[in-house]
Amino acid sequence: MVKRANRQHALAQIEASLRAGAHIFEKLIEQRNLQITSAAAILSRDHAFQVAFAGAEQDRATTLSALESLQTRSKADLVLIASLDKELLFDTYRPALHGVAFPFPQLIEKAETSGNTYAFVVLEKELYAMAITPLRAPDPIAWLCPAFRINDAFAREIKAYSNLEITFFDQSDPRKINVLLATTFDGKEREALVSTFQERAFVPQRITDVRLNGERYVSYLLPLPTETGSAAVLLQRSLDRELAPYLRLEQTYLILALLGLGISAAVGVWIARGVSKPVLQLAEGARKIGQGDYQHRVNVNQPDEMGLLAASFNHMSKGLAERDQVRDLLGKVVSPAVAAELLRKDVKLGGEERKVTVLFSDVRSFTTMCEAFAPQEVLGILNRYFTRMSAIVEAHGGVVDKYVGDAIMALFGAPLANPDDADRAMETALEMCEALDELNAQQHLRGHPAINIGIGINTDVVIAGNMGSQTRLNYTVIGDGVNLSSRLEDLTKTPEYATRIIISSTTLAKAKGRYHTRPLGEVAVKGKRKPTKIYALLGRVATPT
Amino acid sequence: MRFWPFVLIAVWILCGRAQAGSILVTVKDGRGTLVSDAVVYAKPNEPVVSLEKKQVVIEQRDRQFVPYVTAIQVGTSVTFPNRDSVRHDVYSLSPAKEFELPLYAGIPTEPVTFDKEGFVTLGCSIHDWMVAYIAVLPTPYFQVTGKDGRTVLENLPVGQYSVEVWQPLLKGAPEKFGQHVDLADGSKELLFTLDLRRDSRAKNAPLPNGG
Repeated sequence: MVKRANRQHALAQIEASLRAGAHIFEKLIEQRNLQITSAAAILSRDHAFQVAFAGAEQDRATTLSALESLQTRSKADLVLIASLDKELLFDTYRPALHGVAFPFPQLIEKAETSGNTYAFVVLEKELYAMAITPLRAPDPIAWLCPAFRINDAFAREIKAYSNLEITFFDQSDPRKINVLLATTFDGKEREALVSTFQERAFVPQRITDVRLNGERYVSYLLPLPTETGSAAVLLQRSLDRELAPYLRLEQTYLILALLGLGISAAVGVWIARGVSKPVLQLAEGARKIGQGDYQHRVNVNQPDEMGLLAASFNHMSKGLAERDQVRDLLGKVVSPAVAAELLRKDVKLGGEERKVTVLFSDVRSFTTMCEAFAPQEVLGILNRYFTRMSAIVEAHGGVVDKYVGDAIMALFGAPLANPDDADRAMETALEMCEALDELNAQQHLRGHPAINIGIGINTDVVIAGNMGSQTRLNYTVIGDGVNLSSRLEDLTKTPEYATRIIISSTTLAKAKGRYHTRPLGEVAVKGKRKPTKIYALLGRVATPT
Repeated sequence: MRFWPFVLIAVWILCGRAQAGSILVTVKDGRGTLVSDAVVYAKPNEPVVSLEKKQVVIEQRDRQFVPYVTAIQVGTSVTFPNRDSVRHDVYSLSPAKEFELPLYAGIPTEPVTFDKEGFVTLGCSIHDWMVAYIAVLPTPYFQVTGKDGRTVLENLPVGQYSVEVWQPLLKGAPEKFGQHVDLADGSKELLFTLDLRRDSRAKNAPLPNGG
């Protein structure tokens, strides 16, 4: 739309400039004709010529020769002299011609009334601007008519001032539509112009479009005041050439627009990359952290908010890694459940009463074994044993409270209580014994002695909590119930009982599953008046599926 | 003009008993405007006896010829005294008398004798606007009209005359407008209506500053 408006504006401008050009053309022609008229007036006063022309001793040759001299002096293309009664006396173009009627009698009539004058005349198929002035001696004795040919060179001269393509043509002969007299065009455009003249008529003083040899011209026809026939001049301006600056402007706009678009796109991409790249990196980092890779670091070194965010992110992942490390270590030092409990809550001293099933296991005759083997081997054996047993405890939701020498103390019901804590403990004990058999098979293969263990299980209300000093504390349970389970473990050494696992009646009472047990009688328990019934745990009662 | 009656009386007395008449002429152009500088002359049918040759003077004064129109009888000599501080080059290319007085100052030694009937246009080859006319006439009976477009041919012997008028701007020959007069004692009045060209000539010298 802008383009169209631009073009229309350009067209209006071109038309206006063509009209202005036409005006300039008219003025130039008028100016030139006034010049040649005054030149003619000066020539007419040449005394030597007056004498040669009107003197007593006349001869045509001398007069003609003097006339040619005047012609050269005034740069005219031909000079005619007519008598006062319109007879042609001299003609430098056709020297032999005289005594015939002057070809432009109207011109003389015009000069008779207005003195010096000029007109366009067509002579021998050529266009001339002809001035006419009386030859005075000192009264008018004849008419002096210098004529200036309007040819291509002249057209080009006018073009230099008016910046117009100029074509003079004769319209006097009705058979030939328009005879070209002079033009600024040459080559193919000239031919195209001639054929255009054959095809179309031009309306005077109206702007029309003419296509010449593929180029568009805005054209303006101006009739010339001619004495004979009718000559006219076609003033033209190349539309394409006039539009060229507008096209260039359009192109410039287009280039600028594209450049602007390109630059803003590049800037956009740059900004987007500045934002999206770190965002993607952060997202990747978050994903890695989600997967547990706390060592991953986001590498964004930007002096902006993204950089700050990345730094915070890295700080966070570092913190997470440290926490994870602590948790990991905690998990190793304390049982995972205790560690979770510790991490979940504020760690503070103090405990609570809880019903807990405590499992105590111990390796029998460990001291003997220690003597027979190197400490390193003993530790290896013990570690393998602990690893296996601990896994079983944890598999049943128990918590390894501590290792005491070769003993394992495990809790069921603290810090997290389950309704089947007793069952879990008993299951654990049974599974430990099964596992021990497998372990012993491996021990045997290694050439190590078989390990024998005893397990005591008791359920009682105990104090569970963090115990120790402000700076160093343990999550553990204390109470008589704990001591009893240790006692029960100790009782497994009693050969009469002939069992690996001894459970108290409270534990059995809490058990929901069914187990093979054997009563072992009662034992007195320290701090309790009533003796406690104890049972050997032999195995599970297979539940029919 | 007021002296004319006295002059007429004086002439009449001088001429004694000879019979004479006069012709009062008024000259107008096609539009009825009174025409000055018109040479009115009467050609008698009888052969003319030349009167005493007068010395005629045409001056160049203020870069103009004075007078503008002069009428003389054939054979009269004219001197062209230059009263200006600049020199003049007086010439004529008229068939009746072609001559040139090359650039001169003061009074030329030799007067120019006009021995052929006709109308002579005088020019100055260095001053385009300077122009004057001499009507060289075959008769001693002539006058030039003044600004009132009138003149009187007086003291003409009784007889047949062809009265003609010439003016610098006249189109065609004066014979075309000739009027026949049978002059008896007393006076006649004639009116001439001339067909004149438009006067396109610059009459005055340009001012020294060119304005």
